[in-house]
Amino acid sequence: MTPSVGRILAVEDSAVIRMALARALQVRGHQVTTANDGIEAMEALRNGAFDVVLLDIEMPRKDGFETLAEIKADDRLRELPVIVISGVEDTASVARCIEMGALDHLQKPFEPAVLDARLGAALSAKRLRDLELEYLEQVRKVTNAAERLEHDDFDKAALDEVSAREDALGVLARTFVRMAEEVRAREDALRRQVRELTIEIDEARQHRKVAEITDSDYFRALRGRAAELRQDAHGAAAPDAGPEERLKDQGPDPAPVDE
Amino acid sequence: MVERPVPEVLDQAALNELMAMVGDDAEFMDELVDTYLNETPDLLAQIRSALGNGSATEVVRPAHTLKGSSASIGAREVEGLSRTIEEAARADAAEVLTLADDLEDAYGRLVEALARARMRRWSGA
Repeated sequence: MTPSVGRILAVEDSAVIRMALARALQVRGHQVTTANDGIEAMEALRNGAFDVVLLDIEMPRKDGFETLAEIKADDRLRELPVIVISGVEDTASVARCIEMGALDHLQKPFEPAVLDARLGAALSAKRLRDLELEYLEQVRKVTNAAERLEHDDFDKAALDEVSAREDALGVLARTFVRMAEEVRAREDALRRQVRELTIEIDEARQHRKVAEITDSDYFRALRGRAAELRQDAHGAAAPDAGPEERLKDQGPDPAPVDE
Repeated sequence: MVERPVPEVLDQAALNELMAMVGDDAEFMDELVDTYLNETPDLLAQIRSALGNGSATEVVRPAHTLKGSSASIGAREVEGLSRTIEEAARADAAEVLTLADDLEDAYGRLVEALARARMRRWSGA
């Protein structure tokens, strides 16, 4: 079986072993970066993306134990599979590294078949973990969308990527978006109805108030009094014109006389 | 003193395996062995100097590196002596002092064996 290929960081202080390992990995189609010790390895890890780290244990400046501990303490790097490389007699060191979180170990000098098998398994583990993390991230997007829907702040575009999936999560996201849109449409319709009802209620309230006033004895008395006043006013104006009508009968003022 | 079996200077089977692993590229093997030949005298000097200072702990790292690089090219005799020196140094054993000469002699034999292998373009035939 041809092993899958990946981005490998090979950390080894011996120039000869580093060269041979890098070439062996390149021949197998991997993309290889090398580091002479743990310090260079951490620098490479913080500046690049890798699928697997092949890590020597005995190294100057920063050894494999310190490097592994630093990788496992870093949130961004802790999921990265680390295969420690060791001599035949380094069993205790290998066991310690496995306890510290290394995925596997490779013995020097490298057996090509074992190198392929362990690297293939590490790459598969990495891909599976990447898929798992991506899945969890997309589940988080759906739960976030539900939360935002509750706060009336749902943006359909936030689920575009999840909705494009062909698996059950994609079905869930598409169903969620459809239902969210239905809920939103229903809410809009309800809001419109409430607005219309409010207007009707306000109008009815005003009518009732007017009726209350016009139906009162006091209003009726006032209306009667007003009618009487109008009648009186008409009666007085008919035999003897009012002051305005009398003024109109006198015609315009005479022109002023110069002295 | 315990007699140790003398390992072969250069293991042709290991060399063949290494060739296959690096894509049967004889020119790359030239470069790789040149790197080994450039790196090793410095490691031997570090071992000699640490032993001269009576500092067994400082012998460990160069002996360890030499053991690994020698194993990768099939240099069995140098690999074996480096391993013995590393283990003796870790145990702070007096034996380590007597092995530096043996290691340098073995390295001399290895240089000759590598020259012959290069002439054969690294194949056993």
